Amino acid sequence: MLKIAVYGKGGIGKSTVTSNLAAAFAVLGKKVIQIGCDPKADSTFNLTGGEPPMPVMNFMREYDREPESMEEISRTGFGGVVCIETGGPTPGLGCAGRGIITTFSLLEDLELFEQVQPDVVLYDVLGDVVCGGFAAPIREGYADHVLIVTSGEKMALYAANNIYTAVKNFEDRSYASVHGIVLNHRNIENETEKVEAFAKERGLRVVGEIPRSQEINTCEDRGQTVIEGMPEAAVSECFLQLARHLLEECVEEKA
Amino acid sequence: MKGLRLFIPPFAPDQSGAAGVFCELGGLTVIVDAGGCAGNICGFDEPRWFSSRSAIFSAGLRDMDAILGRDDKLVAKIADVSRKIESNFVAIIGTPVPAVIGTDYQALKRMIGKKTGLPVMAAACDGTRLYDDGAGEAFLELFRTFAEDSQGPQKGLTGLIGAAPMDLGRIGRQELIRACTGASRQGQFPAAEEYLAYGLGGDLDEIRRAGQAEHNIVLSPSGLAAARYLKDRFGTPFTAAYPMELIPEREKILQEALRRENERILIVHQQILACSLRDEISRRRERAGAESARVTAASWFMMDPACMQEGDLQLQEEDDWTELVREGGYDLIIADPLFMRAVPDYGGRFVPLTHFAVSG
Repeated sequence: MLKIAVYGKGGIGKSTVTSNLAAAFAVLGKKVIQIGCDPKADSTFNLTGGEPPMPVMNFMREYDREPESMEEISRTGFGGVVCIETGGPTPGLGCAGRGIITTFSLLEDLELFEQVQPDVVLYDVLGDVVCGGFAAPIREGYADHVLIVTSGEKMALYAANNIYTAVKNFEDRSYASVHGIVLNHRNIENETEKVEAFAKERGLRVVGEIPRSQEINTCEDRGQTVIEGMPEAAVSECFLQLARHLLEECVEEKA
Repeated sequence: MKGLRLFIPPFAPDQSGAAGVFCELGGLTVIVDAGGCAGNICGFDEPRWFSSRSAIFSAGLRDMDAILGRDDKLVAKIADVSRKIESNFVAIIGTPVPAVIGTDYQALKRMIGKKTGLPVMAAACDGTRLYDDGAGEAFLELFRTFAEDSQGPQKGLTGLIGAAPMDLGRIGRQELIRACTGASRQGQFPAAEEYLAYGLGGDLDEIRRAGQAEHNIVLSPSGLAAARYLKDRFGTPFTAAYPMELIPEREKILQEALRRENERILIVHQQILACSLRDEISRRRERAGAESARVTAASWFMMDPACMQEGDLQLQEEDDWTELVREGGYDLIIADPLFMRAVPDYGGRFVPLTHFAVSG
C-alpha cells in the first residue's frame, strides 16, 4: 500500500494536487482513499462534483455520537476514490489537531483499510506541521512518504522549509520521510531554478511540475479534477506522470 | 439521569488497570500524567503498592510540556531513572493529559527504547474507560512484546490470564495456584501440572514461556483479548472460568442460591466470576435434582458477548441498576453491598459478594 501525505503552505494548491493525483491513480487502475485533514473540509471537492462527504467532526457535532459505519462519513468520488474529510471544530474554538487524531482513531475502529483494501492512500494536510495533530498523518502506520507542494514564491518556500525541518526532526520517531517536492507553478521569475536550488540544498528532488493552467480552474468550477474533466489536456499528463513516478519509486523505497 | 450517581462511587479508570498488570514484573512503570493519576493508582487502586517493591513514576507533566510537546524531556527523565534503578522493561501508561494532546505512544516507545536499550511497552489509556479496559490492553502488550516463539505446548503447563487485584482482591500467587489446582481436580478446570500466573507474583520469564502453555484459563474479562491473541499466535486453547474456592463465603452464597425452587437470581460482579458462579449453581441444583434457577449475570465492567447468556447485561448508569432491581423481580441478589445503597426498596434476599474494583 502506498501512503502519501501532502503538505505545503496554505493556498498553494495542495488539495488541487492531491485530488488530481488521486484521480490519476484511479485512472491507472488503483483503489484510492483520499483523506482531507483540514478544518475547511474542501480537499475532496473536485472528486465529488463539488459535494464532499460530511466531515467526521461535523458528524460528531451534529449527532453527538461517533459514526458507526464508513457510509456515514465517506463518499465515493471519481474513479471510485473513497473520499473522507476530517473537518474541524467551529472556527476559533477547540483544537483542530486533536480532531485529526480523533478521526484517525475512528477510521481505525471502523476498519477503513481492511474494508476498502486500498492500493493508495493520500492525506491532504493543512499548511505546516503546526502541532502534534498535524503530524498525525506521518506517524508510524499512516503515511510513509511526504510530498511538499510549493511554488517559487518566498513564503511558499519558507513554509516548505518548515515542513522539511519538522519531518527531519521526527527521524528518531520513525515517521514518514520527505520523498520530494511538487512544483506548482505561479509563473514568477526564475521559478524552476529557485525551487530546484531549494531542493538541492536539502538533498531533495523536484518529482513533479504542474504548470499554471486555466484548465484546472475551469474544471474546479465544475467540481472536477482535470483528469476527469479534461483528460486530454497537457496538465492531466503531468499528474499521471507524477502518479506513475510515485508508484514506481515509493514502492521501491519502501521495499 | 445519564452520568448521575448518588450512591455508587466512580470506578477505577483504565490507567489503574494497566498499572496493575505491570506492577510485579520488575519494570519501570511511568504514568504519563501531571501527578494526580499516579497518586490515585498508588494510593487507592493498587494494594500491592504498600507491600511490594514496584518502580512507578509520574511523568509530572506541566502546562508547558503539553503546549510544547516536550517528549524529549520525558524520554531523558526515563533514561536517567533507568540508569539508577535496575529494571527489565519500561512501561508507559497514558492518562487524560496525553490523550487530549494526542501523544504518539509508538514514537515514545521508539525514542525510549533507543535511549535506554530496554524493551518498551505502552498502554494508551485515556482515563475515560474503566480499569478492565486498561488491564486488557496491558496484558495484550505484555504478550506481544515478550512471548517467545514456541516449539509446541508443554504437557500440563497452564497459563492464568487476568489475575490482578481489581478482580481477584488480595489473593496471592500461591493461593491462586492452590485454588486452580483444586478446580482442576474437581474437573472445573482442565488438568494441569504447572501454572504460569502471569503478572501475579511471577516474573517476565513466565510471559516469555506463554507460547509453551497447553491451555490458558482466563480469570477475568481483561484477560480475554490476550488469550485470543495467544490462541491466534500459538493455537493455545483457553477457558474462561473462575475457581470457586476463591469466592469468599461461597458455601453461604451457594446455600442461599439452592434454598428455594424456581427462583430468579441476579449475580453482579466481573463477568467471568459471575458466569462461573452461575455454572456452579446449575451444577449443584442438577446434582440435588432441583429445578434449574433463572440466573442473570450483570456487570458494570466488560461483558464479552462470547461469554454472555440470554438476559445477561452490562450496567452503565445508576438508573440502569435501580430499574433492573425494580423491574427484574429477583428473589435473590448476589452483589457487592455497595450497590444495595442505591436500591433501598428491594424486598428480596441479598447475599454480599465483594468486588475489589467496587468497594476494595
